[in-house]
Parts: sequence; C-alpha cells; structure tokens
Amino acid sequence: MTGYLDVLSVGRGHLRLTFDGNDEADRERAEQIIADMLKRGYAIFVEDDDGKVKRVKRFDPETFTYIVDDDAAMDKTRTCRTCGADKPLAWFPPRGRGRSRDCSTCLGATKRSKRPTKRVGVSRARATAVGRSAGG
Amino acid sequence: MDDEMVDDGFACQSFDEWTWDELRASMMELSDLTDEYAGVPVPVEDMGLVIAEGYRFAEAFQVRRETEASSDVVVRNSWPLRWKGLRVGARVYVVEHEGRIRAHVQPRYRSSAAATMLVHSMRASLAYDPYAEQIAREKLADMLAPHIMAAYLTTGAFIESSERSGLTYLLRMGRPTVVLAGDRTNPDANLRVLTTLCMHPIGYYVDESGDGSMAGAMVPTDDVVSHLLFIRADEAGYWRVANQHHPESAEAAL
Repeated sequence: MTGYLDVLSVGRGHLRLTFDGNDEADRERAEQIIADMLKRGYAIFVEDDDGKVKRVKRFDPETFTYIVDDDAAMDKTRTCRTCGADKPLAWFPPRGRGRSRDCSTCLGATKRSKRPTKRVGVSRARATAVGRSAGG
Repeated sequence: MDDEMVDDGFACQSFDEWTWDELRASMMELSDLTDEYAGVPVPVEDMGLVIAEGYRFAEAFQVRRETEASSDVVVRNSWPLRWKGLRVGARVYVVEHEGRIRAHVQPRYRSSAAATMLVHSMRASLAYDPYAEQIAREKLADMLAPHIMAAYLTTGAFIESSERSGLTYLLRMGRPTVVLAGDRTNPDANLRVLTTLCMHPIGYYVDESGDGSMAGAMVPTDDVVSHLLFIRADEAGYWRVANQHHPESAEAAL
C-alpha cells in the first residue's frame, strides 16, 4: 500500500508526495523530507486507525512511522486504590506485566507519566502538512 | 540553488513585464528548485507580505509598516483607543516632531476599515490561481460530510464543534474563524461570540501602508483546511499560533 503526504502549497492547492515503503529509494526520500519538514516547524497531521486526525509529535526513521498521541489510552480509566479517584490508565505506572493499582500521585511521583503514544506507518498513512503560521 | 538567486532578482523586475500565470509559474519553479514544499508567495505590486518566522525567503519579502508623513515625524508608539475594554474605532499615536512629543487620535471607522481590508484582499487575490482553489476545495470535501461541504460552497462557511473543549467554530472562507461558546450546563444553547482567530500558513498580504488584509499567501480554502486540521488534532496549538481579533474590530469581519 502507498501512503501519501499532502503539503498545503502556495499556488498549487497542495503538493501530494507518495511514499512506497517497499522501495528503498522512496523510503530514503520520505525520511529526508519528513524530517526536514518537522525540523522547519511544519505541522503534520495524520489520520490514525480510528479515522481520527492526530498531530505528528515525532517521526521514527528506524520503523518508518509517525508517532502520535494515543487518545484511546487516555480514555481508559481506573480507580486508584488509595485516593479512590478515577484517573486515566496512563497515570498508573507500569508494574510487572500490568499497571500499579495506585496512581502516580499517590505513589509520590512529582511528575505526571508521559502521555501515551502510538505509531502510524508512513507507507499506509494519509497525512497533511501545513507550513508555519504567520499569524493574521 | 541558494538565496542569492532570489537576491539577484530571480523575481520579476517589473510587474508590467509578466503575466500573472508567468509570475505564478516562476514562483512554483523557484519552490521546486529549492525544495520549499509549501511554495513561495506570489508578490503583488504595491503590497507587502508578512511572512512566518523561520521561513527561508523571509528577507526577500520586505514589509513596510506605517508610512511616515515626513522624515521629521517619528511614530514612537501607537495603540487602539478603548473605552470600558471595547475598541471605539480610533487609534492613538504618540509622535515626535522637531524634538516635541505629541499624542494624536486618529479616528478609524469600523465599517470603513473593514471595507478597506476587503479591497486589499481583492487586490491580493490577483496572486491566486483559481485551479489551486479548486484543488483545495477537493481536499476540504474529503474532510467534510457532503451536506457540510455544500454549506461551505453556497455560503462560504461551515460549523465545526470540538468535543474536547466544548467550543463551536464557524470557519469562513477568506475571513477569521469565529469562536462560539455556550454556557456550561448546555454548551449548544445561548452561544456567544468569544473571539475570532486568524491564522495564515507561510504569510499574508498587507497594503504598502501597513494596513492588513484577509488574504493569505495560499488560496482561501487552504487556510480553511489548515484551521480545520488544527481544530481537530491540536486545538491548544491552534490557539497558540493564531492571532485573536476582538469580535467588534474590523479585523474580525463580523
């Protein structure tokens, strides 16, 4: 499957870049372009498996994937054994194979757990890139 | 290919020598040669461009702000005149002339200012390619339900609600996005206008005297697409990068 990246562009509407993950040259070109865009401050938005649009946080050239927030993981909640509050699952630190039954706050953590992320493959993604804003 | 090509006059020397199609084609050729994916804004005679910070060719687009009446008059500061927190359609200028500092109130009638911005936008639209607008509308149609796209095509606007924040956005072609909020108990009722948000990727056109327009460097529907993507995927980021205009101001276009 071939993914694409539409870059909103002056004079063209948008410029469509297609990437075939099976083609080595195409993959190298994609890695260079995406990394360059993120470095220059472009905002890249990608449609994930749930059909929702997410903003790309990082790009992983090793796995050729966009890294986006996993909102579904934030939607799952659990009740803390100590304080009794319902909190997102991500706020319960990993313990063994699962997660702790106490939230990170009750365990004395001063920093909140990092927001969970997931990966979306570049070669099958439908993405749109927007240049830096000039305000208005 | 480097920035010298721009400094040495890759852009046209005289607007009379080029057709708009030739000028647009040249800008696209420049963007292809330099791998500037978002393209290069098309210059419009007697208009400047406010360019995004960090854009590669920012220095090539010079913007002149308020023109001075004479070299002896220096504007030290200016701000919109407010009464009870609302703009009253005037601007205060503190100017220095021949060693003396004076304050001057310049009336700015909202309707005239709004009409002026609209005329500036129409001048800037000379840079737009109608075919690019068509492509942008096809892109937007992929993102919207058919009846919502129909509303946009016929009225130039559509509504997008955010479940995350509870806010309602009225996205308009060629105008700032209006932000509406309901009361806490019933978000869909008693909607009031909070503010308007204006954001143009890459740049937007201003008159040579510094008066703004509502025209971005990209075709209007591309601006709408960018607003919609931010609302759906990075609402907090949207509020960070957009400029807020008071609903009563001419810039809000309400």
